Amino acid sequence: MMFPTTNAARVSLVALSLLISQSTTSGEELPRSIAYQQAVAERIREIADRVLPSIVSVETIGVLQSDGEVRQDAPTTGIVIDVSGLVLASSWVSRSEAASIIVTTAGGQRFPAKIVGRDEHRELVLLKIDPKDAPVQPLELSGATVTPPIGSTMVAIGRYGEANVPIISSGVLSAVDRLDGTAIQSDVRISPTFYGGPLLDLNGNVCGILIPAVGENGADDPTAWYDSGIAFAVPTDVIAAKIERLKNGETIRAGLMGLVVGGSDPYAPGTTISTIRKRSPADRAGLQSGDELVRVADRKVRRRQEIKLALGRFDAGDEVELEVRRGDEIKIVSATLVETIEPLRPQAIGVRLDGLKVTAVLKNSPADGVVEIGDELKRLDDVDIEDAASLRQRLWASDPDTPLKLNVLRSGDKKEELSITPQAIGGKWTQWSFDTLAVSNSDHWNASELRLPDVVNSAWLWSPAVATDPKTESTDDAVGGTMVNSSTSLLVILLPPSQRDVQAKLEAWKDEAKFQNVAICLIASEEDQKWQLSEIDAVSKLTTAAIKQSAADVNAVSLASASIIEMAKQVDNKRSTDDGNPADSMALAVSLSTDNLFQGVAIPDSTQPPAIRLRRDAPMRLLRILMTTSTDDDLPPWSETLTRIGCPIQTIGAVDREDLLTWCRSLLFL
Amino acid sequence: MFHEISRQRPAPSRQPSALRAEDHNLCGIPQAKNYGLIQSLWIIAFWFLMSPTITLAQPSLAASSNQVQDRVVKIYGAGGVGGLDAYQSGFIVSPTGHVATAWSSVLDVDPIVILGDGRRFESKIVGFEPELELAVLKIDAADLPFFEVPKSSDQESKGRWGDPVLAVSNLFNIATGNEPASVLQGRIAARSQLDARRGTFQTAYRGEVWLVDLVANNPGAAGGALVDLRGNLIGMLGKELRDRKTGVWLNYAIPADVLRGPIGDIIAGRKTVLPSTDEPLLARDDSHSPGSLGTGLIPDVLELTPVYIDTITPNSPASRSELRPDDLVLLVNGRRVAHQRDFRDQLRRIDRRDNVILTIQRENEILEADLRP
Repeated sequence: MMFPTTNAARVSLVALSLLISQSTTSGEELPRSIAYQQAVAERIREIADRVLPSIVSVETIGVLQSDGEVRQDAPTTGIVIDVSGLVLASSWVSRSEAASIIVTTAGGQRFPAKIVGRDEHRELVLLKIDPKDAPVQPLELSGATVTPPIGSTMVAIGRYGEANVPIISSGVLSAVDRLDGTAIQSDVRISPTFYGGPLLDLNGNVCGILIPAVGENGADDPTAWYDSGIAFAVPTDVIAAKIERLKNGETIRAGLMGLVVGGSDPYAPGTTISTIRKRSPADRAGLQSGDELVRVADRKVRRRQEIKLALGRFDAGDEVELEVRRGDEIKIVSATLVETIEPLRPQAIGVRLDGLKVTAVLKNSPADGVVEIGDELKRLDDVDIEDAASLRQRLWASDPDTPLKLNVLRSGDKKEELSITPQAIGGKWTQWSFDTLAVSNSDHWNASELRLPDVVNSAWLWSPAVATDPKTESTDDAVGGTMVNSSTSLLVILLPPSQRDVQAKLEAWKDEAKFQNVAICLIASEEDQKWQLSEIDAVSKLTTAAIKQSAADVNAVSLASASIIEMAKQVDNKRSTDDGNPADSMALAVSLSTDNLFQGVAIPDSTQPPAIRLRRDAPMRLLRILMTTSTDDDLPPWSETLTRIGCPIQTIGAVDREDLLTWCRSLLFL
Repeated sequence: MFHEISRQRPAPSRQPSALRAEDHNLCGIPQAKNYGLIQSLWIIAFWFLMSPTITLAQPSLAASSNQVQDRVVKIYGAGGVGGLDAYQSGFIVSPTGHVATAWSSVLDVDPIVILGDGRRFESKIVGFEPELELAVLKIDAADLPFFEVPKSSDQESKGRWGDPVLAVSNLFNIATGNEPASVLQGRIAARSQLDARRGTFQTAYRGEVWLVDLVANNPGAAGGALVDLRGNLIGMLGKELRDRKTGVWLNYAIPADVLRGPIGDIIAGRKTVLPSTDEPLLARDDSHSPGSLGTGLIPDVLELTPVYIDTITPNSPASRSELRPDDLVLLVNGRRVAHQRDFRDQLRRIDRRDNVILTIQRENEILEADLRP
């Protein structure tokens, strides 16, 4: 939106500067700086005066808090965009149920407003007031608005207080394409008062609408960054394109595609799709695992992170064109994004692999009697199996009770086509028989303390002595080809904060761990009162070191809270577990906050859910949860969240060390 | 765009030549005598400013900042009461050593004032306007550089929303001795009444403020100067203020035109809160006392026990007034009583048959109670 008088304004500014410089030929510096600054100030007021008739304040009244108290919020800002009384505001006004929303116009008149539409993807709401005969002056949000270059001076405008006075702040445009491509960023110093107000450039163009938001993983409160020189605004052209949907009363949400790109590092090159979610937009568009993404809409993509950025701007209902390479072929498909993708119900068949060769089959598992030891797995449902990791992902995402076609190479050269119906991982944990399991032939097990720079937590590892030089073997070897001690699992155990003598605690585990070939890593908290979320990183680092030192299979690393064992023993002591143990919450927090470092976590059902934010862009989770339940088998209500993010919950009445280690070994099986 | 002006250590004021040369380089303009050239360059500079491309020149605010440094002072109190910071800022408002600052607990005892040149003075509190959160200190000095406090009718220095401003203060006590105060730049965001919803802000001030778009109100900044680019005073930085409902911090200054009257009266000696010593001490039976007013105070166990009302005697002057337990007495007939000894002393100088006006603080409110015998 360009104001017609812009050029005139420029001319008058130049005239002003001429005047100033003529009057200050004495060489004084001061007036020149003042002239410059005052000229900008005049310009800001000029720009503000033009839009201010359309700027309103929006107040929510009677917001009920969770504690039953009625809260009163400070007013924020809105923009009249239509003579009929449509007002665009930020999600601040809709974030909790309010008895009333009041819009105060530029003229000071107050009108009740109702919410017409919401853009939950961009933190905007569309309100409607009935201005009756009162004149309202709408501001046109043009779809042709161009975001100015980064560094351009920007002005934020709002209304403040009961007198509804104009309030401004100036800064520069800091960045574009923020918040997954939905927002621009400026260092205008805004308080929450400005939310819903316009962000303009010095030509008077409304470049965006300010919203409450923080960067990903930035803070729990969307207003937390208000004074930090970081403000976000939704670009005007995007709003213009969405406004009709909001007028029609729609709720706009982020769009999901339903494809998973493999690899644990989102910044590593590679865009090969490892999993397609069934009945997802990607599935309906005909994409297959193994396809390599080349382009998402108008952007070339080379890394997983770039796919996320390219997809982030689209809403549910948007159609997105994708270009993929399948073998030598280039395919262009179109997918319509959806709001939600039904959660995974992870499946397994019960085989253990060395490379792609079957080394063990669990009794009574789907593979029992179908797959034979020595079979080499080639194709699943007519798509080549790349490696064990991608097979695990595909099984994880397969449909319940639906037979899969499995092509194998038997006895070296015989091609067999098998049909196998996988079994859901969740539910009561049935101990598939482990008769066929080969136990480690290493008799030498060592206990050693793990010491890492920057980690103060005390940690001890009980693991088989590795014959080969540990330096020459990386953990990557364990994923694919030849493995040393391929059947070693790793169990990381978080001790309750009160337990400080880690080495002594290790004793009780040694015999059973060695017998079952599960390496044990015990970690104590930093302080003797609590586990802190800031220790997630330390636990993660110690685990990585433990994997390396024990040469454990990276697909069979699990985490447990020590109390899961203690509880079984202390039932007699009638110890109250209502409060939960800090190590329980910590175990859950660590397993959910790391990218598939752990494939299993064992916690009691008395665990207090930790205060962590689940990342939206996390790679497909391959985390199963073993939860001890009291006699009634009821899971705590918060565990639904785990199911919703696709983590299967296996339940068990109570566990002793033997059960827990057996469960750890079960992770070796796909 | 105008970001780098906040200099930690600007060159001493009155010696701006080095800075000037630097400014020329910033603007890309050599020390030229050809004013026509300068003019044309200026036109270009402004075109760049208004066009969407990156600006070529960024005029410095060094001069604006330097000219006010010698008028801003550091103020220190007894220190550390209840974890509160014992330092704040102030600015000189008369050549004879009047210093305006924000009224706060830092001033509970006669504070120390350190001038921009490092000189150190003990001060007396001579003026006190609780409703403006203003205090005026007096140091024994002469020929000081000072701010004129402008009238509200003085449009030139009044300031408007959108204007560029500098906030000069000793925030976080970064500077000590003769180190210059910290300069922050930003704009006037608005002029507004503070949100008056009850209990929203913990301040006695109820008038209009300048809201600024810079994070000016930090520990130690209270009492600092908000100035325009010509160095004119346009406000006094307020204390840290947080909206109790939303948790949002407010950055504000009390406008100079609001402060002018009270500061002028105090400087001219028309008004003082110094405890009166001119009036003679009367005989105990002839004078007022806490008891004669019907006020019971909290136990006087400290050397400087504040004048908190503990009990109100029924059928007393106090009970007939609005006075309540927990009220803090600030002034007696306009004279400051910092502690109970002062309070008793002042009452000794008032005839028992006369009215007494107590200025009290009750939570965030400043009230006057007229006690009639």
